[in-house]
Amino acid sequence: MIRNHAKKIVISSTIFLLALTLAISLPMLHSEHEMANEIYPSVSLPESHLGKKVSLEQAMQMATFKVKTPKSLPTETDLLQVYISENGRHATVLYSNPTIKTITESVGSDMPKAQLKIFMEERKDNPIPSLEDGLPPLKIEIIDQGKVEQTKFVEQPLPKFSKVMINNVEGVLFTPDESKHIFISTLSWWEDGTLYSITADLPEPELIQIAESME
Amino acid sequence: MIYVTIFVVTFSLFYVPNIVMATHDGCGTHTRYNTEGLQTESGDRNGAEGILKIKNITPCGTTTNQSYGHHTVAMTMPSSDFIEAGIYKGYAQGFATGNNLHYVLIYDNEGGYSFRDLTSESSGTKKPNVNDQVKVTVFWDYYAWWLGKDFYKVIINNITQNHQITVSDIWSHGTGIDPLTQVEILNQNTVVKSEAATLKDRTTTTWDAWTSSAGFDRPSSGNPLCFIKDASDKYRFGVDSGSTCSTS
Repeated sequence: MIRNHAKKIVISSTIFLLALTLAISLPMLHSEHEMANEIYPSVSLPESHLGKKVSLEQAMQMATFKVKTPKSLPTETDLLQVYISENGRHATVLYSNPTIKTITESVGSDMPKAQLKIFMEERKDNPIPSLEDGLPPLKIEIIDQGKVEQTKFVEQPLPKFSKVMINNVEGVLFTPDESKHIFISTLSWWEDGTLYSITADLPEPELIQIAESME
Repeated sequence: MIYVTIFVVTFSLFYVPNIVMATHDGCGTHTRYNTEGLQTESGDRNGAEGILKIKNITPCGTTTNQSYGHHTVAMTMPSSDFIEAGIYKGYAQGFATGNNLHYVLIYDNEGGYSFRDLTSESSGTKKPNVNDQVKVTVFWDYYAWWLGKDFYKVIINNITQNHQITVSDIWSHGTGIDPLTQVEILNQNTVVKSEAATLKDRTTTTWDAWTSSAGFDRPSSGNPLCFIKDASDKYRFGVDSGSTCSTS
C-alpha cells in the first residue's frame, strides 16, 4: 500500500517536472529563434547610395571598367535592377530569386530586396593578395581637457575567408561568420583593373560557377 | 487521468504564450526605424560632420528584445559598407548601457558588423549627458595602396565637457558616397529626441556646410519617428505625436 503510494508520488512528480520543463523551455526556444533573426543596428542604405538606376546596356556604356554579367544563374533568377555611380567607377546589379535568402543589408531602407548582388568597382591595384597581411589595430585615443589621457590599440580582425580560384584568377570567399554578423557569403576577385564581388546565400561551388560564367 | 490533469495544469500555469514574446513586452513592432537628414549633393563625399545634441533617449524593452535608440553621423560606401558614430542608449548584442548615454562606433566591412562602446573604452570616464553639444566627425583618412584598403577616422568631441575620443585606422571598403545624420530605434516605442546642427561634408580635404539636403523616414510609413528641417544643415528629430513632431 505504502509502496503504491510512493510510486504514484514519483510518477506525479516526474510528470510535473516534465510539464514544467516544457512550459519554460518552449518560450526560450522561440526566443532563441528570434535572436537568430536579430535586426542589427546599422545605417539604412538609401537606394541613391548605389547610384542611379540604369539599364544594363546603359551601365556598360557609362562604366569606366568592363561590366560583366553571369551567363549561368540559378533557376528562377531574374534581373531586378542595375545601378551605376555618377563617376561610372562602380556598378551594382541586383537579382531576385524566390528560392534564395534575401540579402538583409537593406532592412529599413528603400532599396529593393534582392537575393543575389554583383558589385563591380574600378580598382587599379589588386586588393586580394593583401588580405593576407591583415589589418592594423584600431587606435583609440582619449583626450581630456586637451591632454591625451590614454592611447590604446584594439585588434581589428578580418572576417573569415578562404582562397578560391576563378578561371585561374585568385579570389577570396567570405563565408558566414556569426561572430562578425555575416550571414551571407561574398565571393570577390580582381581582374583587368576591376574588383568583382558576388553576394548570395549559395554554396561555394554555385558561387564559383556564377563567377566563372561572367563575361 | 490524474496524470494528464497534472501535466495540463502545470503546463498551463507556467507556460508563457508566444504572443507575449511577439509583442515585445508592450514595446511595439520589432523592426528598425530610421529618420535621416540626408545630404543630396551629387558626387562622392569623403566625410560627414555634425554637432549632435541629445534631448532624450528612452529605450523600450530589454536585452532579449534588442531595444535601443541612437543618433549618429555616418558615411556609407559604394560596397554597402558603412561607418557611423554618435550617442547610444539601450540593449543590443550584449551592448547594454543601462540608464547611461554612451558614445558608440558601428561599422561594417565586407558585410560584417562591428560595434565599439567608446565609453567603455574610456573605462566609463567619458560619456555624454543630455543637452551636451557633441561634434562627431567621420572621414576617409587614407588609402593604403600597398594593402589595397581604405581607412577612416572618427572623432567624437564633446564641446560641453571638453573631452574627445579619436578612433583611427577603421577599415571600410571604398571611399564614401552618402554622408548623413541618422536617428535610429529598434522597438517601436523607444523614444529618441535630438538635434543635429552645423552639418557638413568633405570633398577631399575641404569641409562645407550642407547646402542641399532632404530628410527621410525609413520605413516611409508607420514610422514613429519624425524630423523638422530647420535649415539644410540643421535638423531636429523627434517622435510623431499625430499632428506634430515632438522634438523636446
